[in-house]
Amino acid sequence: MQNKNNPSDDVGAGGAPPSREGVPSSSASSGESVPSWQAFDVELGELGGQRIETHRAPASSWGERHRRRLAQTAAIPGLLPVIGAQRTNGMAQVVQYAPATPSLADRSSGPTKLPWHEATGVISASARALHAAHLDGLVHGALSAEDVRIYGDEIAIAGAGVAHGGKMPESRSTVLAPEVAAGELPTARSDVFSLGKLLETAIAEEADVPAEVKTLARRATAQNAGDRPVSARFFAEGLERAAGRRQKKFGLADLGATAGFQKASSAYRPAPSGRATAAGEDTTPTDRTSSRGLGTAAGAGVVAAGAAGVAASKLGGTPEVDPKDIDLTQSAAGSVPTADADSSTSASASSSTAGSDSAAKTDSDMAEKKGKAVAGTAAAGAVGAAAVGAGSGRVANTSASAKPSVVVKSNGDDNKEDRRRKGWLWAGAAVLGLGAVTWIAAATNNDDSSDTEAIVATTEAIDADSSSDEDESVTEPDETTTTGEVTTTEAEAVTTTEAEATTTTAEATTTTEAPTTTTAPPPAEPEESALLSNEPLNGDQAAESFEIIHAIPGFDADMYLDGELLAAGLSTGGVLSPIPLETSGRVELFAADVGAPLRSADRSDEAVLVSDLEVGSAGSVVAHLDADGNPQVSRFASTLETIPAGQGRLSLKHVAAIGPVSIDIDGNEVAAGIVSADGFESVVAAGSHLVVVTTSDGQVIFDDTVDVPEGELTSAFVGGTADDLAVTVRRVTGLGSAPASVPSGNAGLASTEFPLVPVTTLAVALSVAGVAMRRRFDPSAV
Amino acid sequence: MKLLVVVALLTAGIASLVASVGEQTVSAIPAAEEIETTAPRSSNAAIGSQVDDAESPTTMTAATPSTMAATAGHGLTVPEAVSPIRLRVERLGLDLDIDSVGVDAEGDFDVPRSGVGWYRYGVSPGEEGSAVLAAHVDFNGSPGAFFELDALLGGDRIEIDLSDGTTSVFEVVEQILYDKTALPADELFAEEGDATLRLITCGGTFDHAARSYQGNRVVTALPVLLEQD
Repeated sequence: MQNKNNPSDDVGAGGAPPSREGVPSSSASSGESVPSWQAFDVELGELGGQRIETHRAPASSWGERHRRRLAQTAAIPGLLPVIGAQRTNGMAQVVQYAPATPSLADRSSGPTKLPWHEATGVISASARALHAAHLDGLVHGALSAEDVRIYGDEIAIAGAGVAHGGKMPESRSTVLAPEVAAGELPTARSDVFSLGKLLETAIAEEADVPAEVKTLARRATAQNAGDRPVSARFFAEGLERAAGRRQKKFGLADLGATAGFQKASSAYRPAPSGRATAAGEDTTPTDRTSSRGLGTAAGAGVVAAGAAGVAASKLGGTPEVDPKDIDLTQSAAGSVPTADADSSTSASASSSTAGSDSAAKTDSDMAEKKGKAVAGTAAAGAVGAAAVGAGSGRVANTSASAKPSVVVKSNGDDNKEDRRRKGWLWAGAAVLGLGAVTWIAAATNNDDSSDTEAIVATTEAIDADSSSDEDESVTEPDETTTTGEVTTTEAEAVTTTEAEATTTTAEATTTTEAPTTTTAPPPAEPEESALLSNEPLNGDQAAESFEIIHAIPGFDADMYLDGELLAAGLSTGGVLSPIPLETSGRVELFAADVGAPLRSADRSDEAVLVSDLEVGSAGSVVAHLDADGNPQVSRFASTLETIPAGQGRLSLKHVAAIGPVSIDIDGNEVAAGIVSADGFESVVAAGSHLVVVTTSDGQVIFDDTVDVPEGELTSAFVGGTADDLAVTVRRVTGLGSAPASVPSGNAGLASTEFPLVPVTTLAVALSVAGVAMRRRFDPSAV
Repeated sequence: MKLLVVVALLTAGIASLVASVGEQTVSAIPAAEEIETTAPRSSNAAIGSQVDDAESPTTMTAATPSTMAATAGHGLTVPEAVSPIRLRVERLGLDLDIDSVGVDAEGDFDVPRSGVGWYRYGVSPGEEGSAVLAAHVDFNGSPGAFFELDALLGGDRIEIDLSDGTTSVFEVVEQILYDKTALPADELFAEEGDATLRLITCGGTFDHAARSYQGNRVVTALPVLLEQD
């Protein structure tokens, strides 16, 4: 995972993991991100000139079948194709072809941040890719934004299938599904959780995100796996619909069909499993499967130097570190958990026997035989030169072997390889200094034993340096010292650091064998009760969809449509809604199985009910028992006509395993002889009504008050058996009407009609005034 | 003397004319659907936030199985909804209980003989949609609770106590006199959209022969956000 290059990354033993004992802190519970100090690792490399990634994870139950599945990923678009997969030393190792490209993590911030509708397009495509993996039995288990690689308009997922086997690989931004954090095997729904988390991040603080997208993110990240969308495909479809037309569509990159993949795969040679045997089988002195390759190389270098004596320059180019072997055999570089302080020295000892020069004995032998001062100087000088030679980057395979080699390219300053080289350089410089010292000491007859010790210590120092974790703060000497003491101290310091580090990683390994959390995650409340919204549909929505009701008593059901899981663990009386009208296909009902496979073909049990569903009308499809107790499927249309004001529509459906029934409403018999798959429907006054359902034998099987809200359709499906009745009530709102009128006045006191009285008064007044005026001005009246 | 009488008559006549004109803020109701009498104090700026989203919370356009919920069905009974129980209108000096009413046998709003009725098949004041209160302007010779509804002006406050103990405050924004045949019932009784309060009564010209008014007076008010609640 490239994000290890992040300078703020706090990884490795030097980076203070939350618990030195390797036990994840209690914060590593549901939904919290966990730092990447655990055993999982990703290493970049090259194979056949192509960029590859090697994913490593503990694999306790990784078997041949899983390896075969991984091989199939080359044919699954949207996944980084697997070049090789093997299990060595308890580690699973998967090499994937991974052309360099930004990941979703890279595009989540900064100037290249994807707008939300593009980010959700990436996530939706990722869900589809993962679904294809799920159908093939591969689960990712620890999906993070770094795993989602964006190749232009296509995406591919890294690391799919690596988590299978029970133990969780973790990367920096992975948020584990709660059940996985609690130690359970990941399932498709765990990946749905991870997809939900990616979605949450993509839409956080974004304006203009449709509410349905937020709802989907909430549902997908439900603490209870059963509350999440049942498969990644449904998550993808839901996201695409919820995001609408604005969502950018991304395709699935079919990298398995590229020439680059071909080149990389043809260059791949799996490393033999198990510990290193005699390395004399080829000219490469290194122990390929050893976890201390470089330490071994250093030891070999020392031996070669010792054997050759003065031929320092010739040996300067020898140490052939076959980088391919280093990569694929969990070399000392990286947080290899099985490395330990003893290994380097033992490796150097063992490889001494494997050295190409049979004359090579142990370095201490050499020193003894040839005189400590001179031999020590020569050896030290040769080793120093070898170290410097290696450190300067001349890593060439001078072996006579015709095996193709892989060159480990550096990938930035923080690359392991660079650190290794730096280690070499410093070690070489230290050794040269030591050589000078011992020469002087020899010349002045210093204590022999201390020289030997110094040499041995230096060798250990080299081994320690080379086998240290990349992120360990190797105690790098600031100067080439001229005193044996300092050198010894430095060697001690380095050794100690390495011992500490490897102890930590060893403990880390041990811990990851166990469940990763010691405490179960606390059950969390869903954010809102609307998470499992059971809101009734309104008339328009109901007209565009139908529902499926499981009304067979006595078992919880897993329901499949066209061979794919539609719902799991549906209890009797449970409803799936809304389902688009155009949905058709074969419906299969099985007794619920805790680990319901995504494909019905993978089920070992028999279907309880199989029925072919055709595109139909709005209403309900009910799986129930008929009068004889046999499972059957009946389809009922919903009456969605407008209901007059003040009334509601009541619909009663007989889907029980009993004979004909009669129905009373509010004490009046409204229907008799209603057989299975039949029913009664009527518009009634809005409000509560007493409904009684009686069999022909007179047995009352239902006697209860049913609310019939105004303007709504209330459907009651009476299913089950006489003794085990299951009534499912469904409502559709928005079918009502407004009152016809609002009659609110009959006295005329507030009338705004023509003001007859005032006008008449005024008219009379004016006329009288007019008459009076005339008289006044009547000259005859003077 | 005569002059005095004439002037008095004139004044009386003009006064009553003016008074009658003042009452009727509109001219005679034509067959046209509505005459607006928007209150002069335009107070949209003063009204508290109208925060309801235009989106329906349950928009599911052909949802896929991924968005459906596996549920156990709806209940046999539905929970009791919040209802308005008291109405206060300072401008009109109103302070009275609210009855929950439905429709009568003819499917008309069952306006209570006295007092104010809330259409219980609609929404409650403050919920999404248009909540409706209706009362008689007059009934059987006496003024009804909404006799002076037309005196409401824009900005006037209406307070409603709800059955859950809270009080909602609304502010009048407009008053419209509709011809009864053109009452936009779907809009006035809508159960979706912005939370609105409507006070409805009769108004306009009274048809003596039919003993009913020709119009419905509708006052619309919008919720006001209070600092304290």
